[in-house]
Amino acid sequence: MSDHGAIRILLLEDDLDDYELFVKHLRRTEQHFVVDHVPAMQDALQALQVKQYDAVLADLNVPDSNGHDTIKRLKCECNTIPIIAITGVDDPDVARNILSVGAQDYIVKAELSCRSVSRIIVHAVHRQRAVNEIADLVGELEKRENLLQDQALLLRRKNEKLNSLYRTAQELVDNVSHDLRTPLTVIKDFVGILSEEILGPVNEKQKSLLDRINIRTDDLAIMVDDLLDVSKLGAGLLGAWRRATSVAEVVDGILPMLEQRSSTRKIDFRIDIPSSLPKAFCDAEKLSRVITNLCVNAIKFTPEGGDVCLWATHDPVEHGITVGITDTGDGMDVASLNRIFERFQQLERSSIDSTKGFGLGLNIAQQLSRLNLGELAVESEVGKGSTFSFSVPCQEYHEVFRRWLHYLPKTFECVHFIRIEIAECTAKEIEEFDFFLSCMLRRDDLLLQPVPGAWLFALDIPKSEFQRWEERLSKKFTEANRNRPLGPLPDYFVSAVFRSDDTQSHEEIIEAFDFALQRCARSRTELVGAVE
Amino acid sequence: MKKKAMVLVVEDEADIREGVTVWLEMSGFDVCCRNDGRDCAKFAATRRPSAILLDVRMPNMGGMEALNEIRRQPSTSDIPVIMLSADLRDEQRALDAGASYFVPKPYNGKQLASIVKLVTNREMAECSC
Repeated sequence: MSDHGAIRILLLEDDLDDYELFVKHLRRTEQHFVVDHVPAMQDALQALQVKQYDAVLADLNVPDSNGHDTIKRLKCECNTIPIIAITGVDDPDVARNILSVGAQDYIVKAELSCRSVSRIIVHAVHRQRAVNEIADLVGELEKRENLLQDQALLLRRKNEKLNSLYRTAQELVDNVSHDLRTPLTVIKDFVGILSEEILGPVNEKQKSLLDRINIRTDDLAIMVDDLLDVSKLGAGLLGAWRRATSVAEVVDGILPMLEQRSSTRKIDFRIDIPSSLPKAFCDAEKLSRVITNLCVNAIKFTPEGGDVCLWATHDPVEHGITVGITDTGDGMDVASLNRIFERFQQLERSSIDSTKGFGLGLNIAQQLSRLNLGELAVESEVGKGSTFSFSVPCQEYHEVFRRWLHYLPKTFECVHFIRIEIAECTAKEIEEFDFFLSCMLRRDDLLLQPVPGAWLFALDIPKSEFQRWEERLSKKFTEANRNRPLGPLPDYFVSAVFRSDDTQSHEEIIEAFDFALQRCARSRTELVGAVE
Repeated sequence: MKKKAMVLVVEDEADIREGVTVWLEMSGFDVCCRNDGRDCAKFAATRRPSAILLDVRMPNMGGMEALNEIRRQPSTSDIPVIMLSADLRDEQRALDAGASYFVPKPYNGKQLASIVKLVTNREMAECSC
């Protein structure tokens, strides 16, 4: 339609009388029509090429075109303009034919009146406009769909690439860790053989050198662990396998190394762990790494003749255990305290030589304590010494969960609770299944076993990811059962029991957790009861 | 002369084999070594070692697979097996699969020798009753 609301019409009509009749009718309506007249198809096609029209009125039979062929040819030329056929006969078959080849409507010459012509044209124009808009929208939709498909493909490729990188990184870290530890094992073993005088006597000076080789080898082993932990932490590869852990047993494992180190430096190294200390709920390996790093640090930075004490206390209110290392070293001022947990940060300590490391130790100790759901803290006074301490939860799941939620990234999307159960099972099968599930753990996942044979996973994954997680579980299960000489793992049932939404506060999520925990235990009783 | 108890050491690293051999010989054992888990069960069946020290990660056939074979075979299922690995996560798997002990690497030679003594004495005590 033109700017003034006039409808521009191309009228194809070879009969001049009919043409004049049309024009007369059109003039007498309220709608303003501008009419261009052409007597033959050829002229019509030419006109359509050079000018814009809102509608075409076409007599079916003109000298150079006949019947519905006329409509077809016009339609070919102008697909977006409504075509209204003019026919001499009012025959339903002819009408159907005309409409099927693309005419919007038709006018029977005998029924011509000014009102009907105007109405038919105006309606056809409106109808065509709607059709054009729909076609545009469909076109736009198709374009977007193609774009989405392209992006989905791109994302899928990127995801595959990331998955493969993730696997490669995991393998690389595992291999590097094995390859670096092997020579260290050999060096430590040979030093042990020499200093135990198995192959012949060793004099005091030689013995002291061998002791130092041993200590420096341990340094190297710790640095290897630090580097691997840093890379794993950076890549999000480090998950925590939390289980009931005796702090005293973990300390026993590293005691010989720490004692040798402190005696060489003439430091009084004491352990103060009460026998009544409850078990911690944490990843034992990470706990051992944190204690090692802190003790080695304390021994390193305490002058000869000083004291280092490794202690642990139970905090019944917080349902936690605090592990601390107190030394009588140089201590640190406030400015230094604020920086010590940064990566590669090692303070100038002019009084002690040969104490260089990567400066990764404290940063890693802090990250590993967080993985074990506790914060590493330091108190220090210049000239008096320092105390590094961290907390680990006891096996009290409400508290464990509260801490886990606290340490989730602030941007967490959605917390899922997933219950997994196995039916009839022996203690050994439960143990094996627990190990299998621990292989599913990623960095921010929490796995609990509230009752034997029933597990509760807490995951921070987007809503849409749950199905994928379930698929991963089932894939890992199949993989684990392939070539398993001990026979397949017991079948499991998995059910999603809770999913948080944006509006829920931490307190509400914790409440939901407590409920899920109760239900987990109750459903277990029912399940086992039913089987029995 | 009383025949010494024999320990089979299965480890791919020659230096570690040598170190372990020194510690075990010092403790009065005879030592036989193999580079990987292949034929380890067959060897154990014919030679009946008093204990087997088995590394987890080895080329060709790893320790877990070898352990399963040893445990499956009735003639070797009772031989104490001590597994060694630098990966602490192997501990649970090793014990689940029937290892008598798990020793993390780097190991302490003296302790390793006393563990071998412990498992072989226990075996003798079990035999005598």
